[in-house]
Amino acid sequence: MTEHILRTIWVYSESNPLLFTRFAFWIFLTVVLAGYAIVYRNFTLRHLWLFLASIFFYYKSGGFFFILLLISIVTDYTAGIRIAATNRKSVKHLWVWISLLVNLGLLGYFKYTGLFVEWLNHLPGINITASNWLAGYSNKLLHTHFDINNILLPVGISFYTFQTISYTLDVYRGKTEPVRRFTDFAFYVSFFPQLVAGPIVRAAQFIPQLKQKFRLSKDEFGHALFLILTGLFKKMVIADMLARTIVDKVFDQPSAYTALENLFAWYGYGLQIFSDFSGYTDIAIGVALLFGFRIPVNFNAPYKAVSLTDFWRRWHISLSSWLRDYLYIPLGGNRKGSVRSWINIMITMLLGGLWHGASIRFLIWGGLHGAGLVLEKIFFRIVPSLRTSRRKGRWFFRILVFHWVTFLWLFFRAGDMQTVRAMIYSVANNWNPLTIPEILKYYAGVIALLFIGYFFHWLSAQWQENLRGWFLKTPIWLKFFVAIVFVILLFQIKDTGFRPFIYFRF
Amino acid sequence: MMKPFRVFLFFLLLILGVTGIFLLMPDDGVQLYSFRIRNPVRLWIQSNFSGHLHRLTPAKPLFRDTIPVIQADALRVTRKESFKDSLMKFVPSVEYPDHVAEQWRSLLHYYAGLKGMNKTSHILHYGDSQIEGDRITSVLRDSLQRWFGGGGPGLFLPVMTVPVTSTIRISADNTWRKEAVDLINAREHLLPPVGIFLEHCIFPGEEQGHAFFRVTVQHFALPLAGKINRFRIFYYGDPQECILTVESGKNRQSFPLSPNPSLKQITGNLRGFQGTVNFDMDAEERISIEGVSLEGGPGILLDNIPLRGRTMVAFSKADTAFMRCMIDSLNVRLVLFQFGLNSVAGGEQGITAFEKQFRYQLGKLREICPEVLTLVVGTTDMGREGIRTDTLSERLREIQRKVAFDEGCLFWDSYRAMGGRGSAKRWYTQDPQLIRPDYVHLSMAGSRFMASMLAKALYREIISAGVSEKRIPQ
Repeated sequence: MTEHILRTIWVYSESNPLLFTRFAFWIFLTVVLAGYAIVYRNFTLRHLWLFLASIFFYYKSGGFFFILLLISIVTDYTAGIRIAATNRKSVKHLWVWISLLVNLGLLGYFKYTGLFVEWLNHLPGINITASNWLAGYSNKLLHTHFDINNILLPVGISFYTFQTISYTLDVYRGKTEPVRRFTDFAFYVSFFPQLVAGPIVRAAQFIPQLKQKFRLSKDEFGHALFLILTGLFKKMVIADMLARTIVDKVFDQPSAYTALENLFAWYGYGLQIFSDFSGYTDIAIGVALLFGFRIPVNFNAPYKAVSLTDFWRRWHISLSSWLRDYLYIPLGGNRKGSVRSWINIMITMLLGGLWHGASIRFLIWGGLHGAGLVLEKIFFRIVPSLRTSRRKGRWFFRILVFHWVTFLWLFFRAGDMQTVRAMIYSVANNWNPLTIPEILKYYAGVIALLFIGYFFHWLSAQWQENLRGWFLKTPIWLKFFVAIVFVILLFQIKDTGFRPFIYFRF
Repeated sequence: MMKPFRVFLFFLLLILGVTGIFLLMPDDGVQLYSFRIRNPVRLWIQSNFSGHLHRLTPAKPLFRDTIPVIQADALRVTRKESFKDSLMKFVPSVEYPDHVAEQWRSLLHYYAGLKGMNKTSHILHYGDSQIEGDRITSVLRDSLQRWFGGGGPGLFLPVMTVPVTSTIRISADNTWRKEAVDLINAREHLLPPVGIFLEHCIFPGEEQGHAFFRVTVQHFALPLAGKINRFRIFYYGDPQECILTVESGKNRQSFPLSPNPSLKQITGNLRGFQGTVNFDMDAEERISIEGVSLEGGPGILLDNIPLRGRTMVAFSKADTAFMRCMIDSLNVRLVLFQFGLNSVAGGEQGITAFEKQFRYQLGKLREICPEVLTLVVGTTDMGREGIRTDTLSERLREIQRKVAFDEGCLFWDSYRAMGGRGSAKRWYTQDPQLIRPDYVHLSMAGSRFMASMLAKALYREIISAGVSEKRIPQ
């Protein structure tokens, strides 16, 4: 039994990863806080402790892929130092290219090899299979038993590679100084709250904090706790329950369900993905704040957006700003005329879609968002008076954007194009008014969940702030009591198996 | 200021507090009005350390199995072959008491001779939401039709709770009304004439003179589902001047419905069927449609009759003679029962009530049609609280098997077919997933896999009954 307990604690298990929604994570956090409380005054030890804790966290989340994380860290640390150390443009370029090749190479191999091979096999006479040569070498040298026919996507690779690329490019552009100490840089890249699913933290936002002493006011602690509790609520109550009760089963076989049920699943997924991802981000920000580090907000009530452009300023802010700064603007942005600007938007959104997954569906998703943005820009050129913030029909645009975005989630969630077609067909044709009362009664719980989720989302910022303000003002013992009751209640509705955060797959 | 030590202390006390509360809590939780606060700590310990802390989980004796479970045990499948291959290798056989063997073999021979006799025979597949959407029935139907002949999706109603299945798509206008046995009982205090669906669709001709419904075979349906050359409509009522118009492709036929106080059927051909058939009704009187069947040649038709939310078929609530009439018309010789989900959901009380109801309803079915055999498909493994099998589902399976044997029915153990205890979790981790995240409902892939295992078990029975393999293409 002792051996079993030790294995459970120290050895990675694919079916039991370390997630925010697991009790084990909070035990892990407490242990890390214990060590942090001892070393926090010494910057070197502080960063080293958190780096080691983050590597362990990554190992428990994704196994031996932490080696790839280390490769990325070493490459970009070296690149940053070398770029800053020389005045020769060719050397700077070389190191930028090395950083891009290593990071995008890793990302491309693990994420897009399957898709690339699939496309190649459509050509006549070609029939190749992707092989995981890393797994092959590991099996040969280390006697592991990895499946060489399956290239698994390392957890968080899309996030940390983008983070390290942004660091190297910022150093190259002179926007930030390189990090001199390896442990500091390693900690910046691997900091566990934001490691596996963002936000993508820019060097300029985080590196200065490495030289600051720990500070956490009581209000900030209350804010951190508030974020953690609301994040858990969004993920475990809203997102997981929606997935369990309606989304997964309807998306599994849309044709077996009526149009109304398909619509519930559709809108349910819109709420699920928001609650899941923003819930994760809230927890990440809250946990980081407990250590005195501030990471940026990643969501700002995206379904309140009054235009698609506004939506992309509110949804996954760190990714959209990354794409804007490192892709859209270098392509020319809107500085080279309207048509070129539209093309740049399409390229950015297509690649943004592909970032989410190696599948034609994500390309379509990104492409349709891009098309929507372009059409919006054309529309506002024709009717510029509607561009101002206080405009008539704001709620009309809000509803339009919300429905367009929700429609596009279909491509995101459906397992294949057949499911996309089946769902659209079901919504268009499977109306049966006779069954509506029965369906409404059967799905009363789902309707309640949708109502609660969307209601809180669309609640005015003032009301949300009032709720947060009330929590901050409560004494610490009441916060403790609320947290205990909350955790006990969360355990009651917790999913039986493990349900990873949606953005872990990216 | 909050120093790191205070933050650490806060979380430490939080964890200790939560753990302490759960350790002090009774094992089966605390009842708070109608809500039970579960104790996840004990369950976590059980699911992670059950091999070591078996004292916490007293072993409940399973049925004495006639074949060893070990090779099929979900947790012990070897790496050398895939999980599904292992399950397929150890598909459990259909079980039955000795005195049923002769009747069962005769039935299989009868089915094998249907093509030669130019007859059709319907098999009724009753079940709960597990069989909804024709996910399981369609695969089984395809196998039976390949072996014994026949085609078409079988019986349905113009208005179904799930109008779109993996085989057909039904659309109907708003004129139709649906009545189920419970509703009729409450109103009329008489055992109502309802057909095998235990509900029917009413065309209120006296209010609206016209109604229609359309049936389309899905383009992704299994091939034999689209092999259709005739339709049958079972109706009841006293229609005066009712005309049924059936349109399929370029063919259009009209049939007058004749008044009759008992069940009546119309049969028409659908040669050149091209995927869709429209049924239009014009009448001035009320007509009840008890079932519509699309059929293709002599052989078998397996009718998917899902009763969502039900624990059992309520034969006792229907008029015996009427039901008998329809069963005879359909030439039903075998009925499949696949229930269990809702009984388990009802907890201990549900399980206890199930046994009583099951015996009672089987008795009622025997009253209606004594010669019909029943095959009980045992409940699947259901996961609760992680890897643990819901012990209620195990008990229900035991009850189903016992009652089936007592009442002279056949029994197929889908729990063992899945891999036994804890298999729901293993089915969930397959790619594609074979069971949905509720660990209760099979996914599309899982339904098909389950049906193919049952088909394999039936095939084995057919061969062991002495039907020549040459007559039964596998």
